[in-house]
Amino acid sequence: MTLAGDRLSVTLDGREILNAVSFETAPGEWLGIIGPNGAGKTTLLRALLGQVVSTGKLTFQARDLHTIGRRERAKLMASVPQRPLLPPAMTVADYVLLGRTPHISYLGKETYADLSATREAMVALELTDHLQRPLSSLSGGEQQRAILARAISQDAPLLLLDEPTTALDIGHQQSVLGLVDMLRRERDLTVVSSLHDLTLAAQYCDRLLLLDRGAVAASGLPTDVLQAESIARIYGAEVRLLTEDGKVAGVVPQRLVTSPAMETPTPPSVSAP
Amino acid sequence: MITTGSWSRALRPRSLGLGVLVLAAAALAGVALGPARLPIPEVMAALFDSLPGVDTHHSLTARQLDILFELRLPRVALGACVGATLAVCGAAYQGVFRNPLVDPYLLGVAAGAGLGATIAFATAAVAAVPVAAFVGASAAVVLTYAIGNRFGDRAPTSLVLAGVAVASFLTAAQTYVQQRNSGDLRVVYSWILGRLGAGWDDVRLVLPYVVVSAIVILLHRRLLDVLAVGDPEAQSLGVPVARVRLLVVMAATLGTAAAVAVSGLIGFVGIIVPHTVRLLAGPSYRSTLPLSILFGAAFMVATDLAARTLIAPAELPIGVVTAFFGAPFFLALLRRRG
Amino acid sequence: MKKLCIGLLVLLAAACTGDATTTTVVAPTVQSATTSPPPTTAVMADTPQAIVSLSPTATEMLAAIGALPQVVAVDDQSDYPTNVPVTDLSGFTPNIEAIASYDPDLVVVSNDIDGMVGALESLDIPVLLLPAAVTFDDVYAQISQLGEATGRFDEAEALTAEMREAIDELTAGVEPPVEPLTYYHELDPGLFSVTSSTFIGSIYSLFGLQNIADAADPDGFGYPQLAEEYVISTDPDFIFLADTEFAGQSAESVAARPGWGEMSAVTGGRVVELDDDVASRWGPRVVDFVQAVAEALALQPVG
Repeated sequence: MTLAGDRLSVTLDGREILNAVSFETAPGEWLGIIGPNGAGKTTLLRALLGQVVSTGKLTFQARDLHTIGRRERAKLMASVPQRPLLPPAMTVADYVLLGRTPHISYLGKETYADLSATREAMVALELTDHLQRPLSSLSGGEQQRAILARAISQDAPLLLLDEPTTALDIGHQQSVLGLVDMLRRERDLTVVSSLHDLTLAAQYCDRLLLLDRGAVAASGLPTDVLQAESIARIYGAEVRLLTEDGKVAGVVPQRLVTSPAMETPTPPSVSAP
Repeated sequence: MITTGSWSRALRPRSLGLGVLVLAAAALAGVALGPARLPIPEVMAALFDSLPGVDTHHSLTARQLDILFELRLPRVALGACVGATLAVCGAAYQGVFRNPLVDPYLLGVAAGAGLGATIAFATAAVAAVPVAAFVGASAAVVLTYAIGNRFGDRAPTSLVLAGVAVASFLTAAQTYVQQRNSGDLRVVYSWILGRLGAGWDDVRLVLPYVVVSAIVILLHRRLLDVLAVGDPEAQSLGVPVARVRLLVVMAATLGTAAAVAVSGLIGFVGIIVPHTVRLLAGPSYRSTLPLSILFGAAFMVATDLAARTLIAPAELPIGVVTAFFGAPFFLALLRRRG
Repeated sequence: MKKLCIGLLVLLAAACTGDATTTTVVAPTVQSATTSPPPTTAVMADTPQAIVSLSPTATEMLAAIGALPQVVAVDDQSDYPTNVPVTDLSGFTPNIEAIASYDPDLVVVSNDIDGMVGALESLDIPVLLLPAAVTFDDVYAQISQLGEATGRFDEAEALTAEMREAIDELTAGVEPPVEPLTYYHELDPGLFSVTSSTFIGSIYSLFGLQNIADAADPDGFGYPQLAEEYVISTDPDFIFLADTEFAGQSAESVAARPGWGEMSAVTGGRVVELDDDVASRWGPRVVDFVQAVAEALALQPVG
């Protein structure tokens, strides 16, 4: 019942974007994919979604993700893209209902079961007061909840999120991740998300996968993956790790010191924790 | 509590009823009015008399009856078919390309039909004009698809670009043929401006295509709503986007090609009607498509009535009348957005 | 532009008049298509010998005044008489270089498309612009102009005299009807027609025929498109088809049109198929056109 990738590779336009990436996630876990820009985080998600051609093995709940059909895949995984397209005139109810699409046959109509699932998702995300409002009239936070509601109504055991915190302020970042966390506990979802914020990754993810130029640099528990030395090497950033109860609670970037005599700013010499 | 009645995408019976009413009114006006000035009560009586089992007295002469049943009635019927088709196909194209300014002529249908018709006129095969226009229109879209697939991905933008290229090329070819056969210039030009009406034959010719086209399009109304979130998200929801696009475009092209074959290139209907319908009943294709059929039919019947009565006994080409509606329509649209 | 043409004509006329006596060596025969070429010694250097005609009507006129030997090229639409030197030159999309390649000393055109006249004149090629006639006088005037320009003034005079005589004979030979007869002249199947204010309309007016299209053209534009209902309900006595060749129309095809089958012109056999070219050109074959109308009137309803 796990999501597993074995030597997954993706080549685009002759360039190798992902090189023999292997990972594993237990059911109900939250896997965070981290790494600098261009490391291949989004490509990995696209490979899971079947949007790019990949070699190697990719399985979820013992199903081979390379051979299942589009609708089957949509019933297994729901995706929240980084910049979802919100049709401005569509109502919240109609938008969330779109999540039921994989469960409806090509020429079919929504059944009562579909309406039920949608209703339930909207209750979970507290959208019941906004049913008939067009998407363009919602606030940023309400739009986030609508997008999540659509993913939830899809009733898929795997939830994929591409950079869910980009362009959100600190309060919205917290509420989105908090919602995802609550939903996965309530519904026993497996979550895979790419994150650029290492602190949030440390706080919410059960497991991390650190990518560096298309290859796996480290994988495992946040405590094991988040090391100042490897972050300095891979990200080129000097950081200090905060721990609490033996778990990483924060990744704090150092302020760089500059003086007239030096050409490039250097970090203060602080011993690693 | 949320009930199923609150879903907004359903087609409200009120809008449907309004559409039927408007169409009926337009059809009645189209049959009752015209340059021949038939007395309206007699027209009504004659219409009732033609219904099986009804026997009413009327005083129309044989010639007037001919005008009514051989000219006006088929013209209204053809107008309704053509208008409904152009409108619903326009709405369908707008759905698959997610662009409100797209109409059936985008992928080269108009240019292909024009070229086919011009060649038919130039080779004096006048009877073959509808077939040539149909073949030209369909071939143009096939060409567009082939080019869009080969040189681009199957994304909507690539198809639109390919369509622009194909249309430009075919229009140039048509102009060339026209110039080489300058004696036919006027007849080609008047075909291009659009004309309704060579009797029941045209209606019989076009009916099967428009019915098939409309049915296929209507069957896809739910999927067109899903396409609104863009190709990648629709794919991730399990929709075979490229296949849906191909089927809907094929059906819309079939209907448009048939309409163009019998009535020439009547513009603006495919944009004006779906837009107006959306203002009335919301953006969902579950209401836009069926309402476009009704209001498109009514619109065409009404504009045809204007075309043959405004400067009677002379006649305006119907493409000119729809263009007259088109410009103010777009201005109004601009005002709304501003 | 018009002044330039008139100036050109005056120049040409001046060049020719001084030698009017010596150019008429060959006995002129009206509408002769096979005039033997004039002996070179008698030909004056000032008479154009390399004429290019881009107007089918002008071609017919030139042939009728015996000037064909002086013509080196005619446009692709010129098809009468059959022995004219047809080329690919076009009067609608003129290629100035191609025209100039024939080294013409006179170019006759019927319209000034794309500044053709100015372009030819900049190459020092004399141009004669003979636009579509509006009245019969225009027709005769153009024939005379061509006669002067080609040094065949006498032939031109003879031709116009013959034409006037023929037309007078034809119109005199037709009895005026008790009630004025109506007609519909069809330019194309889209029901484009002509009014009596046009040249074509004036031909029918010779016989006192009334045009149903007049009511549809209050602005006097001349070429209205008629509503089908109107044509059927006014039920003209005669239907003249000028679209028999390019649009394949005939008495049968008209009878097959829905609603047209019961019209009196159809049932009375008064749907007249005209030759497309005869009905649209304003050259010497106007006489044929008048004749066709006169013959049609012989079928007029009794009483």
